Amino acid sequence: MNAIVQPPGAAVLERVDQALLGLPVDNLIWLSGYVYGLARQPPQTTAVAQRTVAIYYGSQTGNARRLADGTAARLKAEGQNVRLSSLADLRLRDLRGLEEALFVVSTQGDGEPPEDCRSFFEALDAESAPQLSQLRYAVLALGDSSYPHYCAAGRRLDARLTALGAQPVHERLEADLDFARTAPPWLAQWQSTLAPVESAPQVLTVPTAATATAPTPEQPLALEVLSNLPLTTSAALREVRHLELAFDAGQLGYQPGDALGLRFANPPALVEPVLEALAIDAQQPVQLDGDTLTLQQALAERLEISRLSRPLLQQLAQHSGDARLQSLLQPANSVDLQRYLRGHQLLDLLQAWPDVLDAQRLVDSLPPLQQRLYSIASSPSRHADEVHLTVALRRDQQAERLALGACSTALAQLQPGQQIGAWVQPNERFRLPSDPSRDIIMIGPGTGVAPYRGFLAERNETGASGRHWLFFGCRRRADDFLYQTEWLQAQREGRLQRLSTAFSRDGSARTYVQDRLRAEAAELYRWIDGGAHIYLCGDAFAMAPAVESALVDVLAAGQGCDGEAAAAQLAQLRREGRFAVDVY
Amino acid sequence: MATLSEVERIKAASDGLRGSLALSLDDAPTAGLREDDQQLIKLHGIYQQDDRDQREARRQRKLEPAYSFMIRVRLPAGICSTGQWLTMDALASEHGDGSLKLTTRQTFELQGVIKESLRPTLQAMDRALLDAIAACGDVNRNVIAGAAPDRPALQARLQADAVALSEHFLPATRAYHEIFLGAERVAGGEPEPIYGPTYLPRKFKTVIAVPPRNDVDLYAHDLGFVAICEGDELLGYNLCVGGGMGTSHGEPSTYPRVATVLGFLPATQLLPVAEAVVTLQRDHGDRSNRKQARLKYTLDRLGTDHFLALLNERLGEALQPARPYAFSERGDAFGWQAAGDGRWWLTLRIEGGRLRDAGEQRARSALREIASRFDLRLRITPNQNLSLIDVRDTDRAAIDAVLEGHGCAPQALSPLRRDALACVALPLCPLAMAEAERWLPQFAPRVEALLAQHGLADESVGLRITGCPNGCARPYLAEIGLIGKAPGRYNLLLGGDRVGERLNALYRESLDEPAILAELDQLFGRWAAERHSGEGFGDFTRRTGLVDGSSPHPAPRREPA
Repeated sequence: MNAIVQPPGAAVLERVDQALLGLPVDNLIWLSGYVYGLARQPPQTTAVAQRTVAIYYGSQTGNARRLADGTAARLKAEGQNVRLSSLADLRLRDLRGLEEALFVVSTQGDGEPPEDCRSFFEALDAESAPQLSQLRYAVLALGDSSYPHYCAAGRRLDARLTALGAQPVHERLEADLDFARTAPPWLAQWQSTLAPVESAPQVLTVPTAATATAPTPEQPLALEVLSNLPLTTSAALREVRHLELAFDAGQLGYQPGDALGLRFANPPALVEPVLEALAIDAQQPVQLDGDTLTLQQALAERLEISRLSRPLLQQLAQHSGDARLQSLLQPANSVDLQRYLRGHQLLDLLQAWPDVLDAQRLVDSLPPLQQRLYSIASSPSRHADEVHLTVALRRDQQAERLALGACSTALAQLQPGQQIGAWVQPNERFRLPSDPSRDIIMIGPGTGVAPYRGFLAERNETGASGRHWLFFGCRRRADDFLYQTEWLQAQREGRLQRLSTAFSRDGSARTYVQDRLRAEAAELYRWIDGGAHIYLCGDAFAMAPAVESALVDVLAAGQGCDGEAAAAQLAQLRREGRFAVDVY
Repeated sequence: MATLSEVERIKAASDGLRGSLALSLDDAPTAGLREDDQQLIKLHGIYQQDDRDQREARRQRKLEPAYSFMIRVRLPAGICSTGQWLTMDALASEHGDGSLKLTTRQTFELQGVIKESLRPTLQAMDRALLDAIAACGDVNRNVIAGAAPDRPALQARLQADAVALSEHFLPATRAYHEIFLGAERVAGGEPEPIYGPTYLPRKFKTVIAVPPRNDVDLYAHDLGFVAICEGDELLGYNLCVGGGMGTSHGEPSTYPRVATVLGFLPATQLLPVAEAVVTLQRDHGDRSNRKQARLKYTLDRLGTDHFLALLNERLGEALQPARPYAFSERGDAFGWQAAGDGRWWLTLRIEGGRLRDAGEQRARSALREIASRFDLRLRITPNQNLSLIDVRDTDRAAIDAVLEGHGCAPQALSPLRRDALACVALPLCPLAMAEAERWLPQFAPRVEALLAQHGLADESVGLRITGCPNGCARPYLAEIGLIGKAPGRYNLLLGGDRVGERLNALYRESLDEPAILAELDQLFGRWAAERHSGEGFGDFTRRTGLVDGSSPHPAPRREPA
């Protein structure tokens, strides 16, 4: 350096601080490189005023968000003015005057939009919603065709936008689990409907400094396994393991509440029975996405073989002519179809119809290997350069056979010293309160407790003054009380102020977390009334609705109001970010 | 003045043994109790334990140890009704680990009871008129009494005296009833007229022995009464004080001690004399160091003469000189025995005191059927065995048939197998350093084989194994005592006598099983070749100087005048 660098003035710093407030660590790291890149660019001329293309996503597992991210980056690189945001942050008035928009939205198993976007959908449905005749839009709907309400959220959004007068510029895409194959050509077609760029690029490409690139599913970071131990006893119904993974300082940024994506191959225990049932040479070459590889490679590394999907059944139904399969695929039988898909595995089908599919047909009808996300169970403040996971092994009894979860089985076999590719999936909707004096109520039976291990460690490390109340549930205290000694120690040391547990198989009466919530209603209401943030994590199907209903009861009892008013209040807490939900 | 021990602080602050036990019992996230409550619950007859076999695996899993509880029943003289037996049997299945442990202090222990089952278990016991009050902890524990089936009136009297002693020394606090049985608390704390607010400095064990059988191990207890009789009639008791087994490895200031006979008292003086001894220990026992707190140390510290003088002073009159008595045996009399009243006793061997159904041998089921069908009572012996008592002559054949039908017909066991004792030890006892009860069934046959090799198969040799030096199976009074030091390692003690009047002494330290067997092989060889006619193994090892014949523990220290 030859010149003395002058620091910016206080006003500038304040603006910068305001803009950066609350951003996750990986964003800050990325931005440091970005700003450096800006500094190295020759001065720019002021851009010509230009139409903005908005890209909105509604994402639960991150797939929709990643598609939106990628599209936004491409448009920006081509010089488009792009606004990228989650539907969760979108208010109706933001749509006024907007001319171009792309919506990428996924659908939950129950046909609902992603958790954090529901208020937007409700607002859009309201009679007071504005007319949007100026808006040209397209909808990319993500879904899983094995569920009854396939792409329902995307369809609902599309229909409502049309009803409000907006113009669809490109027919809606309904993308199944193989969206990575189907989405890019559709997006390219949509992009061709946009007005051409009018001026020179405005936004700089991101500099390639190593610190500026966070790991992605396509370019994961190799983490080293430090330890991989069971948390449950052999008497537990499901084995749950605790994994500790290490990275070099600064390579991976995360915040408590985030999830970790893991890249894995299907383990031989899953692949080999499939190959045997097929009675096809494992080394036979097949075509997949333009690559030529062996059947074994395709099954192990590229294709989803531990979850059944609708396209496979369609192939089988078509080529076998089986009446029962064909009937299952009728729209009217979607509930039966879902039950069938959950109750069977690939092996069952291949054994029932051994000669119907050849290698290439099988490969064509299997969805791509899905990424697996696990809640992070550590805190960067406490567990420096480590990330911990709580992994339940999926070993369900299906049709008289043990069904192995592909990723959890692979994870269970990881040995210390081995490596696994990973990336961070930020979860902005599941964050500790920015105000450290707020109390927090953490509800997380089973593996739903994982993020709270990180929450508590983070709050303890940062000296947060707010109190902590954990609601945990499992089957038996002796067998599957996850992290029991850590919670008890935190309680003894006054770091965890309250610990309420429900053990559903100890004793004669089955007790669940929702029962504990109701039993503690008075004190719980005092905490909520005092500004506590409530978190709910874990099973989406049975647990989450039961807990929400218990919370409604707690609010109703505390306020002396009826259930409807209490439910509205819970919804309000959710909109304010004081009730955060991460269920799966 | 040395500072009080931690347990003294806990007792003093316990509000009549209540502490925070009620809260601890309701604390759902843990299977254990708060630290202070773990001490207090002992005085209610309950120990918190954990399965030490699982400790390391559970620690790795971030799970607390597999805590459970042992409930020890207060059962004076070891005698219960068939209804009480059936209650305990049912509780063993419902809340315990499926077995009943019969102890050397003539009572039941239920093991593996989880915290949430403590109240239901004690409530079921209460309905059967059983309790666990003061069965452990720093109080007078279960009072045991010897067997005299041939003298039924005397037997009845001894049982009555055991019950009277036990009840006289029950703590006054209602804590047990409130915490476990749901009784309402009556305003105001109850004074403890005998114990005072901090109870005794240490455990306190009371025994009644009936010569000529020393089945109770008279000399191993703090307070002993030897029945002095004329025929069937009880004249009174010789008073014995200061027996005790517990020691600590590597701490020479701790030692086992045989009780000292102080004098004779008429039967009517039983309770006043017992209370005088208990209160002397209450007032003079060491409350700063729990390893010096038993009555045996108090007695040695004060000196026997001084102790007797203090005792006479409290009684207001002097004890009479001790009357002569003699023991001739120590084990139980197995098989059918005619009682003097036309009824019968049947004593059954229960190895290690562990009563369970194991494969073809369904001893627990057999006893359940017997207790359901026949008019009799049951007596747990001080050798961890079981006697059916007051059996009608007409029921004997049917009882034999039930036992046979359950694979439990009495077998001809060698004297060694018949009389061997072992404490609970691993995995549940928190004090254990080595195996005992689980090892005995494998180890005893190997010793048996050695005896047979030397032509000694029919000789009685007293073998007692404990997992630690605290002495629950009274190993210091055995001809062969094995005291656990580390996993698989034992101190070998030799030289006790056949009736339990003399302590043994350390012969070899920290031996593993092959080394123990090699030593015994060689010793049995010498015994077979060099013994005097009828000479017992313990006597032989003393006479030949294999172990030191001098005082087994340091000379008693006396307080300066």
